[in-house]
Amino acid sequence: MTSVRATGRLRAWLGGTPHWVTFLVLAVALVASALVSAAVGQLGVTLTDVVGTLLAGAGIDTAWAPADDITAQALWQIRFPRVAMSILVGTALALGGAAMQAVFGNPLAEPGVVGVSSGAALGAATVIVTGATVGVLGTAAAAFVGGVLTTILVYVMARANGRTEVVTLLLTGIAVQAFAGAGLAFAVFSSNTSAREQIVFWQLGSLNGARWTEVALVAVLTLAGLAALLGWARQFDLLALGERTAGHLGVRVERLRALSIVVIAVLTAGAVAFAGIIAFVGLVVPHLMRLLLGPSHRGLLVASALGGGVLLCVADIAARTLVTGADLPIGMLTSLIGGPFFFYLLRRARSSQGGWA
Amino acid sequence: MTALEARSVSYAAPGGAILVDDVTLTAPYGHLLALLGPNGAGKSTLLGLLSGDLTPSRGSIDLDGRPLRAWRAPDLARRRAVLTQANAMAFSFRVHEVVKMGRHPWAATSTDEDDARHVDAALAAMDVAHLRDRVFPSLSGGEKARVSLARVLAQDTPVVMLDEPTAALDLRHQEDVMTTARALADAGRAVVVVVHDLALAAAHADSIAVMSRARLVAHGSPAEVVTPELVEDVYGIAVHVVEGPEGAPLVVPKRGRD
Repeated sequence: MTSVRATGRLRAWLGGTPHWVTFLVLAVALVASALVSAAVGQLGVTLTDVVGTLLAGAGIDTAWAPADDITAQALWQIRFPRVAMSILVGTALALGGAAMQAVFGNPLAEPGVVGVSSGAALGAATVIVTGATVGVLGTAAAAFVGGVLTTILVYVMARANGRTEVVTLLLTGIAVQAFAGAGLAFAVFSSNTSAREQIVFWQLGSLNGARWTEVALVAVLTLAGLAALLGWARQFDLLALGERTAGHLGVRVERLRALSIVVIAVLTAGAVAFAGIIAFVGLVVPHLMRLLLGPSHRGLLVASALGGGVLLCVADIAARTLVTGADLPIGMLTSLIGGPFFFYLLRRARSSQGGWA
Repeated sequence: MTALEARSVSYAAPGGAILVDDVTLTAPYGHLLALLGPNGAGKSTLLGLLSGDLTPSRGSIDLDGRPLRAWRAPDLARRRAVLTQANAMAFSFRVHEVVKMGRHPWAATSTDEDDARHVDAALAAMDVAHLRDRVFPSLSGGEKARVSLARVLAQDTPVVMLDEPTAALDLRHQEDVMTTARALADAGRAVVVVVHDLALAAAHADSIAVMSRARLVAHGSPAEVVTPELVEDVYGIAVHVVEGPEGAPLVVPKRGRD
């Protein structure tokens, strides 16, 4: 009985029956794509091996568990962290996008627009160029710091008279990105061949070589971000009325916006730091979910979190299988498919609902 | 009892232009105050000051005897509702969702049934119940204005401020809106309405305040304020003021061939 009531309450909280179906489908898709992602590749592992290894890890012995330890170890050390990272990065990017669109009241906003990616790239490039022997974690830390600092810098510079005009914010983002681009160009120009290659490949984005410590870090950032954003979901809805009206309804707009920017910066910079620049996930996943569920942010945030995970997990499968023997840059893939798809979405929405703006 | 009290309030825009100059005005409960004046006279700025959006450069504003600045945003949202001129909507929310947003300030105390009751009543009062499942951005200008007003009604506050609620409306809905504002005042609320139509204001308001070039030039009952001299002085156009069939004055521009 209590479980029925709890489910009912959860349903009401998320906003109606159709949402329920969407969440279920997304969750099933997430599990399925994660299992497939763990099985495909050069290793020659079957789906049953994956399930068996997972169950064995949970202490349940089944006939599916792979006979040799090497397969299990390879899965645990290489595949599983990579799959987990792809899902977490997708979730973080999609959440960052959904939140940024809410905060700006503009469905075309994206963390990249405000300079998170550029700042992160500059941070990573700086560390790579100086040749500091800090390893992958050090580069990621530099990227993270670069991304968060850039976002906060843009936000502070765009403030005037205690408020932030959306247009000013976006334009400041463009200016800061140009500056970061110049810094990046200088870094590439002044570095030696191997550092140059490292910078370029870092920017292309890859999930190769993800480790459990990194996965744990991103997981903590992503879950904390999700919790914070869900707490603000109702206020995000009100922001759609414009900041003045949201203020009249009791939302402390400036405070909400400043806190959200920090969360968005942490989510995006955390993802970019370990996976490189993966564009468009933050733009299209929330759009798709909005088309499916409507604009209410509680459902939208949950669906975007799931959908982002599915998208990047599937993109990672494609990155590893499209060209035999090659691990394609995942950032390139998402943009390649995402760009035209986004065009299609724009045109469709324009003809059916008179556009988003 | 006084809801809002502005004492010698001035407001200078960041560029230095004085948009409101030394205005003293009170809005009591149970009273419909109409704010009139030509375009650019400072009506909306004054309303922005009274609602707390803008901070006066000089003077002070009290709400319920407490300085407006001392109110926390969530408390303020349970005391006063504001309809702005902009009916912006960033995403495709449906009409009933938009009206329900007006219930947000009461989220902690109100029940779902209460919220639904207020939303339904507001939809009915603004004659938009038939639009409840429509997507807000797809509505016409007048429909958007009425839905926004329904949102303000759903907020259920003792003080209500409306900035040109009749601007985009046809004759019947103009009358509906002013009748609703009148009913709110009769129910004991303090209502401040910015309107352009002198006759509409005169027919429904308890008092009319007229702004001209950032200053308050007249404040009194409709009969005291709506005179040919004042209208000519403020609007720069010669008018007849005639007694309408129901007693309220009508204002007609002089169009005679002379």
